[in-house]
Amino acid sequence: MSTTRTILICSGKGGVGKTTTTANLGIALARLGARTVVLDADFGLRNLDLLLGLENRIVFTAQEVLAETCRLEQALVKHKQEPNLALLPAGNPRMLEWLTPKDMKAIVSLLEEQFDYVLIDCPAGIEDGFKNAAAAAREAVVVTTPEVAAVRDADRVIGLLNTQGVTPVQLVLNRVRPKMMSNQEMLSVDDVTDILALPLLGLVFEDEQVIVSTNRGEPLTLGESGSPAARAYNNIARRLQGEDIPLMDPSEARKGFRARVRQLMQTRLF
Amino acid sequence: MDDAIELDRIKMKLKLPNHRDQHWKDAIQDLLVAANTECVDLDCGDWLLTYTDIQDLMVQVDQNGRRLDSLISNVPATVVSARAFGVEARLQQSEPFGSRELISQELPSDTPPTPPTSVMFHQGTLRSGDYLQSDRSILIYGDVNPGATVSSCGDILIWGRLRGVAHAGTDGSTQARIIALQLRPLQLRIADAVARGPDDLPQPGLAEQASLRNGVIKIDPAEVLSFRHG
Repeated sequence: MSTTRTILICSGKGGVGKTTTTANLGIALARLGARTVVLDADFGLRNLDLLLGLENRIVFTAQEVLAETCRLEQALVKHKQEPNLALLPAGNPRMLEWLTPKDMKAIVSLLEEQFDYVLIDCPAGIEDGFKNAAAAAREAVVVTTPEVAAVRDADRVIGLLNTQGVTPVQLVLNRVRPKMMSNQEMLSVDDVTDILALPLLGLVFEDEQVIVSTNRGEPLTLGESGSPAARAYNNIARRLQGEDIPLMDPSEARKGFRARVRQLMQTRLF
Repeated sequence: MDDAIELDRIKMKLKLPNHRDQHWKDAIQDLLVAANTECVDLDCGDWLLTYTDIQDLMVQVDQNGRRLDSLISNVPATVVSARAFGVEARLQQSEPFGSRELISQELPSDTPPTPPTSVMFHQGTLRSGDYLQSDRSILIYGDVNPGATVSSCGDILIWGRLRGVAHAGTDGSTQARIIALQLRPLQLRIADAVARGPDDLPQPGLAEQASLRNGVIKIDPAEVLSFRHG
């Protein structure tokens, strides 16, 4: 039996950081030595390749692999700096209607022969795109932000995952602003876990570096930067591997946080 | 196993063998081929069909040129999965099988139908978008999250937190009650009355009940005695 972990990264709501999480987690896992592939199931609006800086290297997609017009090795795009990480786009943005749950299972079972982790970047929404992406997943990471709408959508998605028997489902709380949380201007970590009732895999603080790195196509976890988000993603990867790492406490992290971001912004931009 | 499956003229029934295996798809395939109507109703009995199963099922139905009109099941999770695909699905009471059938045979044939006070039990949290409906009272062991809806002809009892929408007494029964360990719903409905949930947080450790008094929904501490019907 395959020991590959096939993890769906989903959220329901768009813009909460699914793709960013997938890219950073993929790099972080690869750096820990795990053979990792990220599968972009959001092929209509595919941008996982952008975040990884691999857009110009894509020749084939999983679609061609299944049609047997190319081999899997040809479609897999190896990351430049991190050879343990490969990207497989599920399809071409022009061919919207091709993917079915059966195709998804076929692709994933091919990938499971070669990799330790298969991370599936799920499209937003709970319609066909989600259902297809979720078809082959064994476990899931639900990404949400401390906002009422994002939490509500995450709750819906968790319900769907439960009916599908995907387990475990874990939670990443993204774009946490410690200052707003401590001023009670934002849902607290407890508010979110209270509703979603999932184990918390990680907290990622709002970090301007994420925008910079996204635009550059170099995920934060790739560098040695100690930026808060990079550390958070690295911790999430290690927790996925079973290490016991305490969660960051927003109220304590608050002090050094702004100063560190400002310092980083200066050092990285000039 | 095949003889456990029977085909009505319009309505297909899939009766559950004791344990599930790959065979159910073949069984459905035979039924679909044999069915002589375009629309089919499916009785899933005690089958727990996951979201993926329902998806496969619908593809199969489609490939055979049939249309799944509605689905009934004894398993709430199956109903939830089917509704996720927009299939009209409802929950029914388990039909008397085996030992239960023996008991019913001992009763006189004019035994009144199950009284409406009987309870449907649901274990697990209802999440946003979930919809649980029954013509019996509902007992939920779990939370009802914001965005979820529970609807019952009888009472609604929640061993957990009610933060979604609850509608008790949907058949017009003004005696229906909604009881929860923490009653902080988005909206409450009893019979035809509608109320918004309270805004302030409840006293911790105090179970509350909502009932209809003079046409208005009131919330009070839950009473133990209120469960004793008749």
